[in-house]
Amino acid sequence: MAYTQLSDSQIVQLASQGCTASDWSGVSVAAGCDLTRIVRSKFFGTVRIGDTSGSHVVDGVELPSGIYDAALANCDVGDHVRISRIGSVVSNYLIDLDVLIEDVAALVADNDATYGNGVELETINEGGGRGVKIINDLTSQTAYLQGMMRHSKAFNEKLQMLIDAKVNDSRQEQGGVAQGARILHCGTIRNVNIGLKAYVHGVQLLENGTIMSCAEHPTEVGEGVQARSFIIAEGARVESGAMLDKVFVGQAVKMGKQFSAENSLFFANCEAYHGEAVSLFAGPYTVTHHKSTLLIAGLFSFYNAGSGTNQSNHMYKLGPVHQGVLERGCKTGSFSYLLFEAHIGAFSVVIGKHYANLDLSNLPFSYISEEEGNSKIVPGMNLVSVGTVRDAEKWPKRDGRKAPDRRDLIVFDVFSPYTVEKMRRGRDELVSLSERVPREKISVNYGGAQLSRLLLKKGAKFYSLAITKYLLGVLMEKVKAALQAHPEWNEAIAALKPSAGLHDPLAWTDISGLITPQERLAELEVRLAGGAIVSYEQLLSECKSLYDGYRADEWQYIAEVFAREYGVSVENLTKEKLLAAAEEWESASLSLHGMILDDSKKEFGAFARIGYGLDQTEEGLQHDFEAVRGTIETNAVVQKLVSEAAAIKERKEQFKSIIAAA
Amino acid sequence: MADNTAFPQVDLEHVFYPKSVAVLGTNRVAGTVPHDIFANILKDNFQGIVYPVSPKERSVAGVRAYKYVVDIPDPVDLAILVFPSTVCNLALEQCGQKGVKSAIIISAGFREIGPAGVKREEEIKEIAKKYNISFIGPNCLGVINTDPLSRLNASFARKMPQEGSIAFLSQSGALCTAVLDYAQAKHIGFSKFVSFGNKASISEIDLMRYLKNDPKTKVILIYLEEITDGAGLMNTAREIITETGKPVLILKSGRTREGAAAAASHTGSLAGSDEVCDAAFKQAGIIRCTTIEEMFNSAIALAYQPVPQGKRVAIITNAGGPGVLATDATIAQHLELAKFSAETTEIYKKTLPATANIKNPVDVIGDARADRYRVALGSALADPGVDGVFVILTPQSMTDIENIAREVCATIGKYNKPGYASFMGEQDVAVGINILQQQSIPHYILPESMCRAYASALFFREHRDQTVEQQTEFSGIDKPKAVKVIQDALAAGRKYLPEEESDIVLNAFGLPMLPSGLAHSSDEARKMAEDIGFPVVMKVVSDDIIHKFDVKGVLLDIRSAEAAGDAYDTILRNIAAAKPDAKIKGILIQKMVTRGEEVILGVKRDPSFGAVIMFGLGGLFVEVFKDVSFRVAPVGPRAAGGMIREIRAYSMLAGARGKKPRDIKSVEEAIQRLSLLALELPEIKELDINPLIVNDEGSGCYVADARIML
Amino acid sequence: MDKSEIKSRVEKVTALVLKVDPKDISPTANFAFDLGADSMQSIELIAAYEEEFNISMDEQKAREVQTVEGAVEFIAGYVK
Repeated sequence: MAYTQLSDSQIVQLASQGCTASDWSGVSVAAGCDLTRIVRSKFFGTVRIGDTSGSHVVDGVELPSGIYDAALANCDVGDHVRISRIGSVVSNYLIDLDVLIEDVAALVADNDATYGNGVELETINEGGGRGVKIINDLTSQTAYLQGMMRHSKAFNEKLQMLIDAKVNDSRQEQGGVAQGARILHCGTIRNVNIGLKAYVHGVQLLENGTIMSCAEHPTEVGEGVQARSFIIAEGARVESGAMLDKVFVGQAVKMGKQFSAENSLFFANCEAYHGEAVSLFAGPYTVTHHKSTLLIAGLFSFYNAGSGTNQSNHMYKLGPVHQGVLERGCKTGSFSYLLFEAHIGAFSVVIGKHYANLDLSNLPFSYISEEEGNSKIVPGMNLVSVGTVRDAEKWPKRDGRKAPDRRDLIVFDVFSPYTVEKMRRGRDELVSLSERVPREKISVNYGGAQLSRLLLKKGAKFYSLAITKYLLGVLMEKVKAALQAHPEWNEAIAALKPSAGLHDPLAWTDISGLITPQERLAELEVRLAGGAIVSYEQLLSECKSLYDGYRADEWQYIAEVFAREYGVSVENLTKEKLLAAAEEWESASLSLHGMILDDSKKEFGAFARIGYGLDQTEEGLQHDFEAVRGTIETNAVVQKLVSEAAAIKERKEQFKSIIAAA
Repeated sequence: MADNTAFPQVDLEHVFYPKSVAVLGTNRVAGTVPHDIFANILKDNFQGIVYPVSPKERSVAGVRAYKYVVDIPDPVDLAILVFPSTVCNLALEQCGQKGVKSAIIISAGFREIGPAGVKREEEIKEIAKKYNISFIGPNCLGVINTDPLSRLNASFARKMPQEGSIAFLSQSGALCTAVLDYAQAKHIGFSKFVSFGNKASISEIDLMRYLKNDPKTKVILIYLEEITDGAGLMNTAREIITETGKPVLILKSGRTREGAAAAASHTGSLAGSDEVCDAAFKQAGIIRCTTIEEMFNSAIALAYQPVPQGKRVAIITNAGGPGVLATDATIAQHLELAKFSAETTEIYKKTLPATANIKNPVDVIGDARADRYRVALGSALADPGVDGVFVILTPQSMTDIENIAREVCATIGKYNKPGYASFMGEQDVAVGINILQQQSIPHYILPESMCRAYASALFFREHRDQTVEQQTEFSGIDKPKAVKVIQDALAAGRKYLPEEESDIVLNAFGLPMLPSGLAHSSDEARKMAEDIGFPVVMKVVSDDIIHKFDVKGVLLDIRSAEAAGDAYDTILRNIAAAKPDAKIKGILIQKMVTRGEEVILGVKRDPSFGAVIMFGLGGLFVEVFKDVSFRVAPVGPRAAGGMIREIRAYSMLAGARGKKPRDIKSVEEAIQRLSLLALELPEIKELDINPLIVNDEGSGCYVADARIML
Repeated sequence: MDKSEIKSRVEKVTALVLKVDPKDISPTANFAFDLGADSMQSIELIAAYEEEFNISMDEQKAREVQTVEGAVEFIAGYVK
């Protein structure tokens, strides 16, 4: 871009149009710039102005590009930009082409700001100790690594070095408003980078942050929002009075209706309306929609908060130092309450108020309720809930991220080595308990909750059915694929040998959406702590490798478990064994299926609330049919279930004929 | 279709105003449905007596419980069943023995889960019939009556909505909680609120009939997933609208069940159930909505403000931009910007600042305070040339929102014309919006919604004031002749009537046919063609050939007897080549009409609404543009005329670009005759008249080709 | 095992799990309607019968049993 200093006549022209400058020699314009479009404005320091041709449609009327009623200090203004009615000044900003800045109180950047990068959020533990520094490229995995892996000093130090390097990179001398962004009717905006085609309107205050945005998924920050020390990722919508202080808002997150959050992280596809969050680590698909809901000091993902959900992280007046973990897929019922420390197993439902510290991570898919002040748990009950089935279907479909780089790595599987191994452990514990507990005892205390003795075996049975269905189901798929690739029987079977090379295939972990063997995480930890990972990008690519290797790792898990449970390794499978496996798979699937169908009747036992309260999402303008969609989706799932029994039988028959023919 | 004649006379008085209620299957576990239903009745100050019935508990929430409903010593007006579906039959049986006549069955696990549930539902229907019990549900959320005389919250909605004049009926329980939340935020009250679930006994139609006479209800809103008795719905709605002036708004969801079911005719494939539903609703005067928000936007306009008498609106705004948006929206909704009288203009000149825009839309300028709004609004409402007013406000630094809101409410309240408001923005104007909502001034976030609501209200008024259409009586109908043709075909196992048989059927109902004859030899062809008069067309007639053009079985524009003879042979040769196995009945010789406009008429049976008549301009207009209109039979003269005028290409018939107008009256008559035919001959599944050729005005129309499917 | 023994043991277990007076348990008693069993208790009941008689029942079919005498018949099929 070639700029030329103003000629005398140009200065006279601008002056006659009501413009002034602290020093006209600091002002330069692009060749062919139409000066009649620079009116009643003041210039300070070095200001470069591009081509002022073109126009913008604002509130239904077409307004010309140019600079009107504005003060600019040390700014570069690109082509076709319209800046109009600025309260005090636009200072120290690089403004790219096609930008609209209309009716803004102030847009100011300090030298050497970091725009939200490097702000440390006290997540999960309100008293500190799990700080997560936010950066533009933060992912749910790198946030988890920062916050949850505090045992290794070397690891944390090295990780912080990588993060700090990114923070330094984000240091800029001037703020930026990227191409096509629109900033309309706003209050004060200070030290905020605004991304490509972002739409910022009606905000009250934005300070020290970055609004990332891209053409494929423009970000919107709207009416009444107040945000300090924040980063908002592509495609997010933050609007209607949301109040944020030290918050990271991930891709495709929806937030609004006076939702307030501090020291909190929200990753892909979270939804937050009306309530409050403090020191919250909201992994992907965390949803809270209701007015009196508080989420505090906890780690959540794939979670739905019923109305009035609450937790405490204070105990014995030692201060707010306690934390909670609700593993993926949990739901809390209306006006439910949990006293933290608490650790709830994956895909569990929590109803009622719980005053004991619960540690139930080995009993996933459970139903946790309250009776006369005591916590009760029915293990495995959620395996036969139609709601769980519906969730499994809906999450992948509802991935709203359109940005080309989807940062948070997400494994959607409801049944994965992570949850299945928990079930195996849970099953074994339940069986062992059922053998030890005397008949006279009505219930037994487990992890802070009462477990009915009669339901010990039942819970183990539910887990067994699910484990069998998963294990043998994947096995059948794998064998089918192997036979398609290698028609010769021996070759096919040999091809089943796992190649992942894990030493401990049974231990798995969930890195806020990414399910991976613990061993791999440990390796990553060692490599990072040892200095083998030298950049943040490299760290991201290592995480991506974990994600890419999931299926292979999963297969080794399955092979290992199969060997333990059935005494046969997959390379030594015989046709008879496979036929028997198919029968067993069918039997387990049909049993589970029958029970789920039962549940879809929404019987009014203790479960009723799940069907009629927990999954409700409040509609806003865009969500008019959300509630209806819930009904329709559930009905669609029920319809599908009804036809599934036949599908199960058919799949088994098909498999058997493939084996017979091999 | 629901057969309510088999059912007892529906008694809803005891459902909404019971003096005593028994909750069967309740328990003590807070947070569960059986408990909460009972607790809600107590908590929301029910004016009658409530009895818990529980097999195990001696009391629930401090109230003495009975093991069985028959143990209750006093009469029970209404039973609410929350037992598992497997034992609802036992519970209902006992209700019958006790003499309970009304029930609400909340429990799920009936028809909606499949065959096992269907059986259960049939069982409870039998029991209800035996004891003459009317019930709502099963599988519903319950019933709410906000009338202080009753204050019944027999549902598991957490909070009783505020009292209002809008009734809401929903087939989906899930939607109800969302709607209650939505309405509460906007201070919208309800008179009655019903989730009717599977409608095994009481349907939305029964509820509508009750609400027709309910003095507390001014507007009726319905959410439907499926329509079982379309005709009943239309008739009931029409009755309500014309007899009581209460508007009926329906939000219908769900994709078309039929989907892309293959249809052998154009009408079949074009008459998707959604298009038919749209047409049927419009015919009945029902306002169809596509979102909850739209539904309530219209509802509050109809409930809170007088219905507009005309489409001339005045816009009062304090900012230019929104005024422009509102103007655009006004025009888009086919409303008009009112022209102020000289008197009004004078007042504006005197009282508004010089910079104000005093033509419609009136811009009172950004610094306007309550007094300026009062003048602008008041004068507009007083102007005889104005039918309704839109008030727009954008918050400027000096805008005194509270006072302006109060002033707007007061001023609008003085006149018997509708006034709506749009205070734009969220935080700053919230206090003003609250005032408007509490004073029953309809408020809209966007000018577009405001205009749409006004247009709905206007549409409603037009329908309300319409008299019921009289059907035309036609003489000379020979129904038995048509019936015979159909019976013969069915007896022969045929589902398709070929052209000559279709012609007989159509002719029997007086539809104008082209002169024609069936030739079996080239000599016969020559003679017939001469008798009929040239030019003629000749078409093969065969049960095995449906698409004649495809096999070169049609020859047009034959102008001499000799050509007719040759054509006969040519056609036979073509068929022998293309479809040698086809059994040929003969060659049809028909007068060729060259200069008319081609239109298409059709009949289709919609599972919900019955016989549906379709009209459209033929050829490309149907194939590509799908420019068609529908009405549910019976179609009278006004509806027929409406159908014709509704299509986008209507001007082709009315005379465009120097062309003479066509004989539209004859098409109107043909449509009505077709409607009569469709109703009288239920065996006909689908019917296409394609084309019906319409000549110039005065020269009538003719059926040129027809297909009938049985 | 003969039916009368099954019957008395079923009644004993039922009274225990549902916390009702054994006097209230008649053969025709419906678990949900007469004895107040909710769906959680229904599952416990099935587990209790399985334990009492040392059998493993088809879960889905077991849930369809509605009355005490139905349970007796159903269990009889397993304890032959």
